[in-house]
Amino acid sequence: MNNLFYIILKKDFKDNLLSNKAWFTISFFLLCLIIFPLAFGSSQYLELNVSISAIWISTLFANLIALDHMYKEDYNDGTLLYYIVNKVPLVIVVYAKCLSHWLFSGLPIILIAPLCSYVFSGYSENNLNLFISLILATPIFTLIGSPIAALMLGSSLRGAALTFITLPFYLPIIIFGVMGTNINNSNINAEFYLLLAILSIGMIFFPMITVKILKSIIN
Amino acid sequence: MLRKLHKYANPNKFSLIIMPIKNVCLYTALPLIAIGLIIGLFFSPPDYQQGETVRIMYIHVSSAWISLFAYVLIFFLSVFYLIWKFPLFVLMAKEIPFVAIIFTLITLITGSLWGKPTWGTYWVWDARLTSFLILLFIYLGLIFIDKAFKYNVNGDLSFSYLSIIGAINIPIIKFSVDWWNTLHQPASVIRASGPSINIEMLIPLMIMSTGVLLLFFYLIFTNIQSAIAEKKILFLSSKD
Amino acid sequence: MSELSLIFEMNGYGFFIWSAYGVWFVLLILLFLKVLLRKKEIKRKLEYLIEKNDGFEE
Repeated sequence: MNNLFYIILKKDFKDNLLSNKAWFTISFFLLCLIIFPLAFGSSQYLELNVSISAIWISTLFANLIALDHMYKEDYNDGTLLYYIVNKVPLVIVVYAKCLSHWLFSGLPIILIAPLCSYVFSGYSENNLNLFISLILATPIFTLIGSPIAALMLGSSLRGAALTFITLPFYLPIIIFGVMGTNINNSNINAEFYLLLAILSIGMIFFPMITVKILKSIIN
Repeated sequence: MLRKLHKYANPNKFSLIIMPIKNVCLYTALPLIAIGLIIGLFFSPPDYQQGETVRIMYIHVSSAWISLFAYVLIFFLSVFYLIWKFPLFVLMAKEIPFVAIIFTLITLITGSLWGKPTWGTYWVWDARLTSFLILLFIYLGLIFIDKAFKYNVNGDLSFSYLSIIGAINIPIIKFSVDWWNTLHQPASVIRASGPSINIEMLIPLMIMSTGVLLLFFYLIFTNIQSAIAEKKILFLSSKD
Repeated sequence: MSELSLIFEMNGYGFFIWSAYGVWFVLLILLFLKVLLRKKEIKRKLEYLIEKNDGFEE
């Protein structure tokens, strides 16, 4: 069981590193961030609110961009079918996919975001809040995205449709995340508990649905 | 019990069965809506707090109920489809979003027209309003996913799974006024302790919502018949 | 006349109330028309196809 998980994870890792996908998401994040100071047109520091929202919007879009090829390549070249034929439990595949997606589109952003926030706004008091809420929110983005990425496997138009359908489901997470980031006192606040609750339910619920969807779509 | 329902499973028969129900719906809906409009606009008393603007409630609340109810309907039809794999369910579910999206739009627009005189703004980013806007986008996504799979068998499955995922939003909308302090007033009709609303306003509201609900059913049934006929057309034209 | 205008003014809230009802009415009529037009077009297509297939139905 564990062995299989590591094998699939390693395969995903290699795929991500060999194709340029791994660097694509993080560079997309940085590029998206750069737009904000340019669009505001001032050479000064950004306002704190603006820099926070810039970071959240860039995180959202970097996640969505990476979501498109979460299952696409494995579906197209028959790897998923191979897993099913050889009776590999799909739960393991789904969890491995989610983990590798998060490692390449969530973790780098979490590490880099506090630095970006400081560079953009010159303000570092709320960096801990930003860090914690990003740690809680990016796995939820990945988990919500995974069933929807699996749903779109059969359709002909994938990229734009996927973004459009996934975005409404991300909105509550964004709202709680920004509320958690904005609060200035360093106490752990209610939004974090809420995000944690969503994360712990989602960790069971969304992979389960994804497995069902993959099974019914591939058959 | 379930055996007895099997004879309604044939889409052709189903289409014939809903024909009289549909007509009854339409011809009771129109007088009910007319009576509700007249009572609501001219004979119901103004609210002691909100004055005359309370008259917007009769259309705002009734369409809000319809748009929530429509989602619950889609959710249950999708669940039934996934359990029994019976295509008529998803055929019915697929016709709902387009009708429901109009009611959601009505709710949002009349709500903002009500908000201007009472709150002072057309739009606030509070929990109830935002979650209703998300409902609108989920309906759009459902329509979109239906269109994206026009020529693919997986479309039915994708539609029903997406509607199940989207159902998370429904309890959030219902309880958003209780969980967060918002500008939007809490529910005053459907409560555990009975309605707190004045009886003279409750009567036109109930007449209005029954009428709109029947109208909604009429539109859904007509669309279902069209969809069944569309399937028939596809079948007939593929024979050549 | 003045009574009628009093009803339409609604203590100065007339604009909001009447525009809300107007939006409601227009959207419902559009929805109704869309549904009925779809039904009519499908009926026309179905009749044409059945005629083409020598009155075959089920």
